[in-house]
Amino acid sequence: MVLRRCRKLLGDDTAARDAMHDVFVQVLSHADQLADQAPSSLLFRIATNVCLNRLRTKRRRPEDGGDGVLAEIAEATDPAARSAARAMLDTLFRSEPDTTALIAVLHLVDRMTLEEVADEVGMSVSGVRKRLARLRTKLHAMEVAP
Amino acid sequence: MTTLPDWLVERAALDEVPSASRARLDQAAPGELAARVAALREDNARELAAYPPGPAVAQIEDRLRERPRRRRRWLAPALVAAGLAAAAILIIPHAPAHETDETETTRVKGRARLIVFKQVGDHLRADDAVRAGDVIQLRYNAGGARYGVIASIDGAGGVTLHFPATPEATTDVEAGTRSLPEAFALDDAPRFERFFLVTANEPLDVPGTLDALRTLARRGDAADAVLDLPPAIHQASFRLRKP
Repeated sequence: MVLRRCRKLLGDDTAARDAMHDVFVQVLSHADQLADQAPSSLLFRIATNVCLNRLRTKRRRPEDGGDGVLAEIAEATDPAARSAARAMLDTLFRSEPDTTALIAVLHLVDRMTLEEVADEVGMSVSGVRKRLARLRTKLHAMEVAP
Repeated sequence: MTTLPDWLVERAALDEVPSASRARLDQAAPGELAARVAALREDNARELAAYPPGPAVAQIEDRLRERPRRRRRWLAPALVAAGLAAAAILIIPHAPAHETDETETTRVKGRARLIVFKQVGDHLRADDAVRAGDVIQLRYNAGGARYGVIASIDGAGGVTLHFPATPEATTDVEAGTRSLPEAFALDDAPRFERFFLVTANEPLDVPGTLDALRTLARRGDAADAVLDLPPAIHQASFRLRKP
């Protein structure tokens, strides 16, 4: 499950295997703070964060899988200007809180409902809605800026 | 047409669907969930066959050691099963007393290497409970012997050769702690699985060793008795229970 998740987000088998190792390192490093219920949800969330951090800190080449994730989000947020939106998301994700990127991926790529996202990240539905609205507003502002 | 997102299928396969998402499963096309869960399980089996978990566990251990020290405990079995879907056991013959400690390491040409995984969930201990479908990764250390055979018997009288790959292959073993190249899933044989590491300083007769194992497997005391082998051949065994 973890490997498949990393493959989907990173789009590269070698990078996904490396990320998978990091996921388990994170899990084991914080094991004394974790509950054992629903481990798949925990692993999924940590895998998503690990991959997003990699996408955020690494300068991606055009063929890298991260563009695929951004493209999916861009299409969902601004279908008419997919290419531009993708570039802006790239910039935006480097400055937004980690949780916003996570929320965007869960809702716009994984097609989770607002309720499912809220459950996943431990926020209220209105909190999730606000984060998504803010992301769209920032994208729009970047789009119209000279 | 696919209607269920990947993440939901993954959770359904592990019986961990959030209550807020159950309605989506009910709305899926008939048969879709079953087909996709079956495909996931096939993918898991292919992955485990191609990439045994032992090396990945070693990589993770290396990275953990490189991180700043903090209190660690190991995960509950369910968590590890959800991710790696595998456990590891270790058989060490002639093990000096210090090598049986939970935190043991062994030195190979001056480089410390972890050879025992800690606690249940990763490193299985003798008489731990396992069940059909559990995936087992074997590691061994021949303790300086040049030749070895690894095989197992089960409560149904079955005998399985794990090393070498075939009875005709060489029984040469490498020095140090090694993982077998393939993990395997336990079948539904009852009561126990008992693994044997047979070592010697002369090439071993694999068919003869398997005959001795078959004889033992048919006995009522197969879970405990010693394998009938010549005195010059050393044997170590490791038993797992199947309640």
